[in-house]
Amino acid sequence: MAASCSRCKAPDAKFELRNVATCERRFTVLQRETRASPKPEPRRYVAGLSFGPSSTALTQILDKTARYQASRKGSSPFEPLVVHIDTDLSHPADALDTPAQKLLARYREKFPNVSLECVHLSRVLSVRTIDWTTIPIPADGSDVERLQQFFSSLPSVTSRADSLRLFIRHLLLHVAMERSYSALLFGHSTTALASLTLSEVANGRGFAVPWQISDGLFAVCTYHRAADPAGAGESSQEGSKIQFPIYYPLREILKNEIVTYLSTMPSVQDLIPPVDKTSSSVVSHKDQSIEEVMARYFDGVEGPYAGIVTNVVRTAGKLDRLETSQYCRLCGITLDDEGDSTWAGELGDDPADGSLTLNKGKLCYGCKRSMGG
Amino acid sequence: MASNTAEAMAQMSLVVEFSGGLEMLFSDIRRHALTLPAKDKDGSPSTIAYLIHHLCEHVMKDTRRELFVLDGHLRPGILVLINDADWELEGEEEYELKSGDNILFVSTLHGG
Amino acid sequence: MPPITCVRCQANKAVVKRPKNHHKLCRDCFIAVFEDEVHHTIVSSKLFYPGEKVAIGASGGKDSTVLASVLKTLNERHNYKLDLVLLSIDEGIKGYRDDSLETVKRNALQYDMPLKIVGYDELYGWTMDQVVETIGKKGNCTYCGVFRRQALDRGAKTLEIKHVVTGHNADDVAETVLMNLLRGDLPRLSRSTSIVTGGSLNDVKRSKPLKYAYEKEIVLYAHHKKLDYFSTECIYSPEAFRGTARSLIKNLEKVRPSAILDIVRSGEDMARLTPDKGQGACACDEGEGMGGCGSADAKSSGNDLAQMEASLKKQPAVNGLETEITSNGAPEVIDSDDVVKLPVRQRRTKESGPVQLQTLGKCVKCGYMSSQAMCQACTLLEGLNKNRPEISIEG
Repeated sequence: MAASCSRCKAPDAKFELRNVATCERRFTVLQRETRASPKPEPRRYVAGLSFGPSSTALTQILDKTARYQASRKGSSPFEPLVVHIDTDLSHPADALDTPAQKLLARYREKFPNVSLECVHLSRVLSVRTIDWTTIPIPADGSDVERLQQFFSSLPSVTSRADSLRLFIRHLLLHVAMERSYSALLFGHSTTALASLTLSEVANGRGFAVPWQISDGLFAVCTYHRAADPAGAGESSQEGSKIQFPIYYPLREILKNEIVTYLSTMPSVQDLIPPVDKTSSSVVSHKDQSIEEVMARYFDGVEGPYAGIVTNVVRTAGKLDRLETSQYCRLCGITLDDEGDSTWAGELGDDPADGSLTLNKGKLCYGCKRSMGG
Repeated sequence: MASNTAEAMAQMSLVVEFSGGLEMLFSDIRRHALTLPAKDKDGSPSTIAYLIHHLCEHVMKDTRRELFVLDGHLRPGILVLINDADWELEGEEEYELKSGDNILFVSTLHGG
Repeated sequence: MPPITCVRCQANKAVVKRPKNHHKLCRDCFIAVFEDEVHHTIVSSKLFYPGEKVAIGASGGKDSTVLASVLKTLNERHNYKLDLVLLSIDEGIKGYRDDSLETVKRNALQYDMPLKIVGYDELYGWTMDQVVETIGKKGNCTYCGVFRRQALDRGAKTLEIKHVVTGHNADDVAETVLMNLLRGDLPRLSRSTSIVTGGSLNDVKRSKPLKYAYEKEIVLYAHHKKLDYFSTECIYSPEAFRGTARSLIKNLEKVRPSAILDIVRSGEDMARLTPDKGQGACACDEGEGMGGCGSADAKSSGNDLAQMEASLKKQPAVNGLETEITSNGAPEVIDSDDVVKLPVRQRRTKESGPVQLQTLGKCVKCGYMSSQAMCQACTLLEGLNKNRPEISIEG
């Protein structure tokens, strides 16, 4: 016997939402209501697109909203810019017809009401929200080569995944600020935010979690490079501090709900590249990143224990966002001097552990770990 | 030809020990004297990975194999000491066994 | 591969690779470094005062055995002038505790320390065998954990000892941090990371000198010092290993060994960010205290995912992330439940850490500290006694 929708009582509940039967129409409505959360004026948004289900769903919503807004008289303009960061370092930054650009062209056809753009990861090197003197980026070579060398010099898979995530975040923020957009949107689902929360805890960035996963204004510090090349090796001067809004519009939606949502639109679903099958079977425990371990954990937990997944995000959202005068020059989040000195006192200074004494007072505990070990 | 066969048949003797609760999976016996072929069926020297596979197939009577091996690898949380040295210093699963080696598996997952 | 030389003495063959910093050490240097670090923890956190009487919660397992051995060594080496006693709990589980209590008895002789064993039957009128007979195996770890927590304190009181040290290690603390995030328990998050809990005038102080020690190093220390410890699975514990926070911790350690201490660090930092720090629930639910239970799954009480999920569903939907939120246009609004933020932020100073439970009341039945009118142990006992009214409780 088919269950009836517990929300609108339509007789054919096709979906199960948080273990509650829900019909198709209501399911869509629910998504849209949830999405109607914060809308700062004016409405010029940059959204990140990874080509995964969540950011694809976000793109679809933005496209639909833009079409709706355009049809309304007197409505203020709604201008979404969806940006894909091409992380493929095997081709030059200005290469044409790359796989990412080809795929983006298909998105463009499907979503005519949003602007879509491909930005190569190497552009991150011109971003001023990172103090490049604090991380080991080689000085010579093309930008792509410098990034390649940087990534291969990192000590672990986790360090690489962590730096890549931070670079993408900085670059999207850079695009949004440089072109005077009003907010940056990420497609993270509840599940992705829960996974990010625990990954950051395992990376030693517990202090930064409320900054990483909350909606709202995010303090951004910019750094000026010393114009004089003789100043190379010295850290950059701290420049202006800006408040910029960052939102996670899909924060209330579980990953499997997004997948179900997309399954109601096969033509959108077809855009999403299939997931690499090797990720589901462990080649070696060591070749995984903390991020992947967490994602696998939450894949297993989400189905039967959806409440726990939402609980992680809700709990982390209750933590205070402390602000100090100094910012980490890599992840951009406020530094925790009190925590640093307490920890040093508790564990004792270990002069042999160079990774943690390097760049003292410039990088947070988690970023030092990422660069050094 | 004869020597090849002899080499292929060459055996080595090992002492394999279990502690920290793992002995429960191996008939409650802590110390096992084993004889293993020196080379695996591909002719490569037998490694710890081979030993772990052998233990699962031939020594463990308990059906709860997942308490010893997960996703094809030794369960995280089980330490291995090769002749008293942390296996992380010896190449872990790739360590090539020698006759007379003492291999100790210790669980950190049991009891406090 | 050629033998690797110890980075510390540059002479002997390295046999240990340290998870926290990848240092490769020989046996003797490893033992020295391990002991020095515990000494540093004790000194920097000012855990003891000269002449203090301290009970070591001893289960016969690896953590408490290593704790007893290290404390004896350090007490003599650094002249702490501590009066050390072994305190063991007999849960009343036939065939499980007998062997481990034998181990503790041998430890008492080996370390030349007095030993006190207190039984659940004398404290609560129930052995765990009887509890399981009444309620079945499901959920019995909760009873065992709650009872053990109080048992150590009550046992210490009978010996007129105000300080109990337990063998909680870094892996235990990291697990608790993750569990409390999954469970959404911020007060417990802030409490579980402190090295000292309790300790107001009337109560027994608890501390965890091995808080920063990796479980791996504890096992290796026990191995290389040839310590006599006992390990077995509790016969009543569930064996669902997959998906537990414990196995998550071990997977993370494999990927990046520093992760365990990094989680402890994160937990400490997040504790300073909790809105109601120090005003949480009673300490009797902190977890079992001495790691007496052999099950990885039941290391801290109530960490069964299904149990957690069930209790989360009972919470009113308005607290949830999953409510159907309507637009209110205000960009600052984050979550509907964000209003619980306190206007004034409490900054933790190192001094204020240990004495955070003074505002707690006392249980109306037993007088044990509790945030509820009746403490957890008495509540559980009341339920048990209803099921089998012929049993009377003493104490």
